[in-house]
Amino acid sequence: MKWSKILQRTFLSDLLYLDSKSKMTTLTSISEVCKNPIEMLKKYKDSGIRVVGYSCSYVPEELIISAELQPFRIPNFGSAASTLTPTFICQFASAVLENILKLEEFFSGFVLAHTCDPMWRLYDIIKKKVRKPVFFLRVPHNTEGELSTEFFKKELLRLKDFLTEILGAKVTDEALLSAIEVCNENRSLLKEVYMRNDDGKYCVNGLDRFQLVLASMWMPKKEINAQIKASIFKNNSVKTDKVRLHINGTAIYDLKLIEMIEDAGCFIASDDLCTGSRYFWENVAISRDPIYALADRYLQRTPCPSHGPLQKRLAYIDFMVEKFKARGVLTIAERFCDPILYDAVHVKDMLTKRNIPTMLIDYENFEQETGRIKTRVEAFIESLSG
Amino acid sequence: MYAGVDAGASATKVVIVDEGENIISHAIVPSGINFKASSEEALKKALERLNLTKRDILYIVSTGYGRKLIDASAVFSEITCISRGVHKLFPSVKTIIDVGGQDSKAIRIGENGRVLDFVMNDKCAAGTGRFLEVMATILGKPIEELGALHFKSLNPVKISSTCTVFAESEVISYMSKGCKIEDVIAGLHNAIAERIFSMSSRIGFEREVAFTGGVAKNPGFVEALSKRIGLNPILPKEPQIICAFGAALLAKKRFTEKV
Amino acid sequence: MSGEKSRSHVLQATKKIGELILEYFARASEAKAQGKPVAWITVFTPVELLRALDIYPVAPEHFGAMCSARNFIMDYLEEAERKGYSQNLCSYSRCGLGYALSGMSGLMPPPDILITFRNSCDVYVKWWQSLQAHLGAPLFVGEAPYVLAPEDLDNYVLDYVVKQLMHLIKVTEEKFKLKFDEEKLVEAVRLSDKASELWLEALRLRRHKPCPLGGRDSASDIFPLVVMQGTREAVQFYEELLEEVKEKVGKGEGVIENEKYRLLFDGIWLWYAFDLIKYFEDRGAVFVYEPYSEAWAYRLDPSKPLESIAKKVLAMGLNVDIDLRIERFLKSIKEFDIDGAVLFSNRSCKSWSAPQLVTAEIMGDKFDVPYLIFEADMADPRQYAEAQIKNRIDAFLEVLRER
Repeated sequence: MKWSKILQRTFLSDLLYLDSKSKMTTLTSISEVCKNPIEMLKKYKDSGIRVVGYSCSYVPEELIISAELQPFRIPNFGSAASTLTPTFICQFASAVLENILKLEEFFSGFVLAHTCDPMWRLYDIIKKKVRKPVFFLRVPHNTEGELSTEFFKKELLRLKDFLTEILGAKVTDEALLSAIEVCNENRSLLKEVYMRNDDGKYCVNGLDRFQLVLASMWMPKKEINAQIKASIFKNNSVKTDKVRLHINGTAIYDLKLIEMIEDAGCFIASDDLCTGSRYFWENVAISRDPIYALADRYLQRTPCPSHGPLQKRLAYIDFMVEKFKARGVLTIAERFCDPILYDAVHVKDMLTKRNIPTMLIDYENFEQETGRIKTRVEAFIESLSG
Repeated sequence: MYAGVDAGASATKVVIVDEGENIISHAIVPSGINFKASSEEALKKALERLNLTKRDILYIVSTGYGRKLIDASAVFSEITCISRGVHKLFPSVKTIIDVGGQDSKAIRIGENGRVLDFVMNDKCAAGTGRFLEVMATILGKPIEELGALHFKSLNPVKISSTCTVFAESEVISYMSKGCKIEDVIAGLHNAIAERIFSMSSRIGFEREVAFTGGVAKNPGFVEALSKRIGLNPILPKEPQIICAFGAALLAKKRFTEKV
Repeated sequence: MSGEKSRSHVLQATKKIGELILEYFARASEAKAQGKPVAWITVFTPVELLRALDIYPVAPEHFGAMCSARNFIMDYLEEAERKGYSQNLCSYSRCGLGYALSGMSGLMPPPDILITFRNSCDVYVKWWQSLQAHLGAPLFVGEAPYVLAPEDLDNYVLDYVVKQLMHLIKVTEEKFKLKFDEEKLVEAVRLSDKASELWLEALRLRRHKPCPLGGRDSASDIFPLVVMQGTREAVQFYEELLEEVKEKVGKGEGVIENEKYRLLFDGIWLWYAFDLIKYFEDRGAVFVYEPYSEAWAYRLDPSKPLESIAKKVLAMGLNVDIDLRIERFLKSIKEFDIDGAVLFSNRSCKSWSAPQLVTAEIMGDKFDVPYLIFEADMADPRQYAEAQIKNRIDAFLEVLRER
């Protein structure tokens, strides 16, 4: 079947951007993708699209796209704890591990990054357990200074070679620039939706915003960009007087958690999640040395608890809380997540000075702990409402 | 009249207050598996003491583990209810340590009983009433006697396990070696106090500190925890119903606001 | 179970370690009093470089081990937990943070600079960031990328580390008005290399039967290599130790008389439970090899001082690819004639423990080596289920007996 280049905008339905290269033959609904991203993997396989799984937002999707491969961020939900790791390794890493093992057939290769200790060791285990090619991207913890950027640039060149092998052809500069453009567009659109929260009265609710971010990690960029544009046109802001909260955390893929938090009687006005604002806040500069530009953007972006100076991250949280007028901050920490748990003490100190109440909620297996989590969130919201 | 219903995992407590916010009746029944039924039973008992019926209650607030499963006009978390209840009776209290049948919490409160911060342990039995229940069964003593026996102890044993299951084997081991039962009991109280101290230190112990919850009825435990923290706590006469009391106060507040 | 108990021995050299540690801390306080900068370092930071800058290094990890062994860690752990640090975080870090939060009036003088290299784990960096937040001292975070292949000890990865070391020199010279002394560096590298050479030789002598140097020895005797590299005292210590071990081998004296099982121990020791090592020895089992014991012994080339120590930073045990680690493991099983392996799943060290199950699987399948894994914490005594662990050890030794 031939598809012609059509761009349709309507105010009534979500839409798909179809072009002559697209092999997708069905409409994709964002909420369906977020509920069950594995289905997306099946669609890719059926359409003959080659997918590269990656573990961390420090892996430049642009490089993967420039090699004509589809990037797919490996989620943690849908998996039980692993028998291959000790009980005190965070459930997040164990679940990502299990997902990789379970879903290997859908991928052409994997790119794992040196995010934190368990994700680092994930590479060790995956290397021994899967047949598909695996790449380990050595992201410096210390992101500051030319030395780090130069080193990371060399790592990205090494990654480019790896992807070239999977593609079976050379990655052109043109392809790279085009990939950077489409990813920049994605990030700008997500930011535009996000910025609707800052007037304190109208907003797009947390669940919807997070869905757009996650879908951007699982769907083809052109397609998700078109859908976000349509949703911006739709303008589904609503007025709300619910308590405004900021969520401090790492990566949350299971949106039932977000839903549960908002159902407890609040509105998530802002966040610093890896699967939230930190994914899209900064763009890549267009430059004559695109690999260097990537290295620079990915290291200098808003840091996660696992990379970069603590002060930089605290400043970002401070900025978000003020800009989006949060009344309180919820830190969602996986029970064994070292980076978040070390940071939590300093986040609390900083916010206490600003008179902003915080609450730390730790969990291991969200499905089994909904009661516990709900109790705490409700009590926290009650304490803010007075 | 206003009612607060605390549907706890072990026991359901009901408190009825009047317009003057005085406790005029209360009742405690075991929760069993049907919260709706046990809450109805508890409410009925509390009303019978006053010769009243449910229609005399203007507003009911439910709280506790089973709070969403029972008939109530509004729902609040235990944290909020305990804080209100304690603050009403003892306005000088800044820290509350609540040890119930299946969980324990530490709450820091500010002016007018507002919750400032809290920590909870609801995952692990060690550090809750369950721990003592299990041990009391092994020792063959009713749980009400543990308090008195504690004070007979001259040489408390050291329970090193933080886990209830492992602590059980330690207790059995001590008893088979011929240790005195009061020493084992004192050791157990110290162990549970240690757990609770550890959890609560993140909140701090700004005075005054109050102990609430079913386990606060055990003088041996109270002694062990007071010693560990290093202060004398405020002890309500009926520590187990403070949460329901707070719920009843919130019931009055809500009703008055609506009118 | 095995009825006869063997008497077990500890080296004379090992008995001197306690004194050595106290002297070392005393000198740290002296240096501080004389206005010399004191650096808090993570243990795979190049101490040789600091000697050339006249900066005195102390290691809070070692401090945590010592506090745990001497039974005064609880106060520091509780202080950190009061501040809000989760009990699931590394116990060394909770001890160090608790110490920093409670006035630092103990053995370790407060830091003038915090230096870490991210080679063992990421917790190093998070812990050091937290120390900076509480204490305000300047922080240097060095990057040691994961060595994926031997080439990384020679290419842009090595180059990156060398440049960072040069940067560290520049930064400390400016900050403390010091002058980096290249000759001192060469001398420190030479001495460090000598100490490593001596210790590696002593470790090799454990191939002999009966094994002359056991777990309690190796656990303590690595101390001079951890923070005293580059000093004459360290060399002297290992010279004497090697003499003693050679003598024992000559006389056929071992840790125990009736050596039945030769074991490998994978992990950091349980600092508050040295009696556990004795528990093995009493039952005829001796530890003859531990990756931990050789972790700090790295041969250096004094003619290429900066490059050598950069390689040492990179090649640290946990920082090399799993295949290289497994290779070393399997080689040692042959070399030391190992009957079984004990793997300590340390709650405080995710970096070490995470891949252990996979490593053990390979060891068990490929080399038919029986293994025992047990979980506890290296320094936090609250996470130790003694009876259950001893039970497992008994069962494990029974398996070895039947072979």
